[in-house]
Amino acid sequence: MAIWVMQCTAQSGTGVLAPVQGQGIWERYANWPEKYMLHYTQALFLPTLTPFGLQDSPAVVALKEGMMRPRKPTKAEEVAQRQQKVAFPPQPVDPNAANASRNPWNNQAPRSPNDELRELAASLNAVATVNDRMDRAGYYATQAYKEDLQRYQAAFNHLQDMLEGRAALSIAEARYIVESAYGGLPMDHKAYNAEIDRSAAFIRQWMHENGMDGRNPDAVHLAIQKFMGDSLTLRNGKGIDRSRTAELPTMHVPFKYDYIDCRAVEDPHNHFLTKTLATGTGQCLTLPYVYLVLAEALGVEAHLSFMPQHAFIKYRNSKGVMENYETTVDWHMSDNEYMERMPVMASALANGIYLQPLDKEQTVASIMIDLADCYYREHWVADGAFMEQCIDYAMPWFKNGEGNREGLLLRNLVRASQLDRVLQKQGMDDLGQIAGNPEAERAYRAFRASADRISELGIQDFPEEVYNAMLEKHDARGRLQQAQGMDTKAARSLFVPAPNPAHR
Amino acid sequence: MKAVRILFLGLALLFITIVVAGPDTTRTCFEQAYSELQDMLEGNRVMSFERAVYISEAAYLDDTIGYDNFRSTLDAYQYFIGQLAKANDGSDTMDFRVPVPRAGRLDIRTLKHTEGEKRAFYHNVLHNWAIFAFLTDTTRFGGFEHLPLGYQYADPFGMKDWRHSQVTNLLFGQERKGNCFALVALYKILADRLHSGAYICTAPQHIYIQHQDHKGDWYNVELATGTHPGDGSIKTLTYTWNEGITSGIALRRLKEERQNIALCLVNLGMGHQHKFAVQGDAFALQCADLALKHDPKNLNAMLLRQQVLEERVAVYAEEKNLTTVEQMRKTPAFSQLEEQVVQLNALGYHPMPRYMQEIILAELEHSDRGPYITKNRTPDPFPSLNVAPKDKRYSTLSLGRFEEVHVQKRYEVYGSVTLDTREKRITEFRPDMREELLIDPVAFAWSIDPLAAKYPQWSPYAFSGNRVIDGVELEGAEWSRIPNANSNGAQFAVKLKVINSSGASDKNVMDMLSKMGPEVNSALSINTDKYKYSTKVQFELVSEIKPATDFYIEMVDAPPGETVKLGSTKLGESQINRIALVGSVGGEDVTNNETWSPYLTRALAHELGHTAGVDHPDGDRATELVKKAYKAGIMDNNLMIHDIKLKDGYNQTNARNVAVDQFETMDKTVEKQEPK
Repeated sequence: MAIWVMQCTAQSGTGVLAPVQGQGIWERYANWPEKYMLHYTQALFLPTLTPFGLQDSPAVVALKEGMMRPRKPTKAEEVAQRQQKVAFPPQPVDPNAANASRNPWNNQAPRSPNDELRELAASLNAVATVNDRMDRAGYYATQAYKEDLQRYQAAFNHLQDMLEGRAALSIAEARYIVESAYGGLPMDHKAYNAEIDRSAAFIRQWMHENGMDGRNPDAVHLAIQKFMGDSLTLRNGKGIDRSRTAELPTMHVPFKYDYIDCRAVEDPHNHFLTKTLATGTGQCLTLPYVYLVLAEALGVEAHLSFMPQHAFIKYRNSKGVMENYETTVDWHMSDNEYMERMPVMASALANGIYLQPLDKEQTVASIMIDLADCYYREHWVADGAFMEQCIDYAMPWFKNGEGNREGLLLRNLVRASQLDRVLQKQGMDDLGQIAGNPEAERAYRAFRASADRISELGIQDFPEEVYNAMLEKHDARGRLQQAQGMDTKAARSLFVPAPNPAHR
Repeated sequence: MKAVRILFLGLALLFITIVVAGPDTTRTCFEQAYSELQDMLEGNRVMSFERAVYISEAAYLDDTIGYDNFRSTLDAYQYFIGQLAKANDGSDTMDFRVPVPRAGRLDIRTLKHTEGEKRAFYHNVLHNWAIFAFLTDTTRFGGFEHLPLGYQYADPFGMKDWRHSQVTNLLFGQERKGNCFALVALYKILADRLHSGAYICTAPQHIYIQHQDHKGDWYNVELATGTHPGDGSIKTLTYTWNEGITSGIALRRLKEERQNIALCLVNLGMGHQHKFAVQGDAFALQCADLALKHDPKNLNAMLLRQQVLEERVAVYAEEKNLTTVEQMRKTPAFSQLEEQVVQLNALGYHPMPRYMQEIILAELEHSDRGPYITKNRTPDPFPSLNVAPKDKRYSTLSLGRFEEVHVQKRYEVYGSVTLDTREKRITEFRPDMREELLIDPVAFAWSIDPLAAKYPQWSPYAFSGNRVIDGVELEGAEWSRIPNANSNGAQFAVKLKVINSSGASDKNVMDMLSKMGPEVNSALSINTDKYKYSTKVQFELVSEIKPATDFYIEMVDAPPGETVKLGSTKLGESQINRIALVGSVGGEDVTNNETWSPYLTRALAHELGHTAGVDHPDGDRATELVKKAYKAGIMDNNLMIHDIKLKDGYNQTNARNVAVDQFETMDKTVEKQEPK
């Protein structure tokens, strides 16, 4: 078969291909002489002597026959070659072109001056609020801090009593204790309890009106899910508890996802159950808690379960099969579906960190870890004693004493903060300088031990681009909510009068 | 030195040819391999996965390859991959230092790893990328390219030919294909040689690679499909239960070398089974036991053990003519078998259901043997209620194709036995059940594609801008284009095969086309201040055409019964992928005839215009602008004018202008044709 390539013979001559612009990866091979590879291999792997004469070594045979074929230029190369030959005005090279100065480490384009200003402002802001170097001397000695610490300590003691059987074990109560330690709540304890009570009564009444058996877990879970994700109306008001039914509201509208500051970076209240009950908006941490307190009030079993930066509900249906309910979208999801959200999750699952149904004690222990988080958000790390106290007490409730992501990360944070203090004290601005400094090395080793343990247990972050995309999506939806005039932070009752009185 | 080496190899080869031989020597091969692996596991010999893979395979192949050959081929692979990594090493431009922020919050991530560790991560991911690219993609070196290794779709379990699961077959076989074990073992060997910190992971009937990216996060590497599926996909497609992951038998990373060696030991045992086809193979059992001694969670060893014990019980039952389980309990093999199956159940292993085997195998083998209609296996969260579909929305990874929520049943079938999971007893033993299996549960075979199209495709190679796919060639589009960067327009390239069915000689045809080429190019090019279009055609003479897929020119003799004159409409015609051009008239070669050439050239350029979607100016598909211009009489010299309407009658050969509007039509057409 004759191959006759007009343009090649006419123009490219030697057959050595020019580098392809913008595709740097193969460039360095472009100037290799042809057949270099085969020559090299022949020199490296000598032929063997056989009864039939000299025979190429298998490596060379493989190269000649199977692996290698004369390379044809790719389409892109051909076109690029032509592009070079077309009488084109030479393109001026822009020294500021984004590609020219990308940071090879993260492949990011250089920051604009605006970015840097913003970053500077953010860091100044951070210094103003949390700089422990500024506060250390004075802040942790102030009366206000000491009183607040006592409040935190009291909350810790109460949770401890619950876990050790000296107080009634209650998720609703535990949640309120922790949130009130931080303070500034939109509803007081009485209103909080009343809201939960009223919701449970509403659900019971709705089940009664729809002929659902309150002893069937399927029915109760369906009712809770409908309550959270659907608009429910009560028809006749005649119910199981005559004294209550008259007071019951006639309609309940679904909870909404609050896209604004859904990670509670700006305001920890956004991760509070009280905020969700008061406003009817929440996200992946508070909505499962709504489910849990409702299930608790209705006397049905439900479990909190964790994912990377996410929480959802697990419960057993009437056949004893564990089901997953995703509160944020009102869907059921399989474990496998959850697992696909991170590249690698199996080892964390084996270590009891993700997809485990937490029992009531474990849920309260996990709320205790939230207490440490609240303290950190309010008072920074301080010497880390209170945070470690919470974490050290709570962790043994989980698998092997380490099956809780939040606890591990907070503990790591305490270690990092201790390391940071040493580095700042010694005036080091690069980690490379710690060599030979016993104090810094010790602090680093302690930090590394906990950080390495986290990796070993299989916890890892979302890939950067995925995480950023997710945040962007949330941001866009948040702006949409704002544009729709929805104030997700304003108090708003989900119990509303039914639009059509005929429904009654 | 050279001479000595050649002599030595020659002798070795001679020796091998003499030794190749009867079953006794082969059995010795297996025993030698066993004792060497045992030595490795017991610390009497340096552990080497490469060596372990070789000896476990060589026993099956009667050592016909030779360890030196095996190693030197791997040397070549290592060299090329090393070069690939070296050429793409960007570490000299990177800053690996770890700065400590002077103000503000502490970034824990930046503190986590020291400079040296960051460098190591980069080194590792770079080399892992290079191995991955070399094995799964077309890589180019100088004037050569290396084609990817293939996945053995026809026989993933090595049930037809055990060699399909061997690295040696991958390296030396004709097809250069293997199942997932062969591919993964080769990757691991290369990773060990290049110290890139990659680990083997196992799942039921599956094996894959895990390694870290430049930040230290882990990723799965699936060589058969060249993808990075998440654990969810692997779990679903291998029918792994959560219990299996928690107990450590599934989706496990083999952190220790002895676990890798134990895999080779299981393979050695299986090779022995395949070679000699003995029922209740003692050697295979011995291999499985030793593997379990050093790696108690080795699922494959347990399954191999189960298989052999089943065979033994079956043989015993047949000899004594026993039918009930209670009668079979007398043989010690039975209690061992029961113990093994109970253990498998306790560890959360459950064999893949038959329907799933059928679907996955049919997809793997492209055999169409799978079921046409599959049951929707989306779970029902409210089994006791009759609720509206909206209230039981259930999102599963496989979209309901496979079972994803698993429940332990009272009676479960493991191979030939039925286990009462509550009483932990075998209640039924049916040796014929094994024969119905579509797969070999002990072998590693699956290839996994990420199931969730809704999630982004993870990749650990972000550091390189995910350029792994650079080497993939575009196929299928014969017209291709590159849009201009700084002006309106594009560069087109056309690749045409040429087949000569006319009376003209091949040489004349190609001579003519070589002269025509530049003229056709210039006819299909325009260069103004605002618009720049250019076209380059390439011809390749071939002896055979696939009319369905090729894009080609056919040189034909003038159609019988028609008189072809210069400028006639029948000089050329085009269909979607075929241009016919007159090469001879009545047997007379017209190709290199000076009178005919200008006409044929114009005809070729004209027909090429049609293949890029440009119609005659008065044709239906011409743009409105062109139609108007044509009516106004300002397109008299247009290339696309139908010959019969040429102003100067048939004698027009210089009408070769193409309007910008027509170029834009070409541009749009070609863009549409290009693969996305």
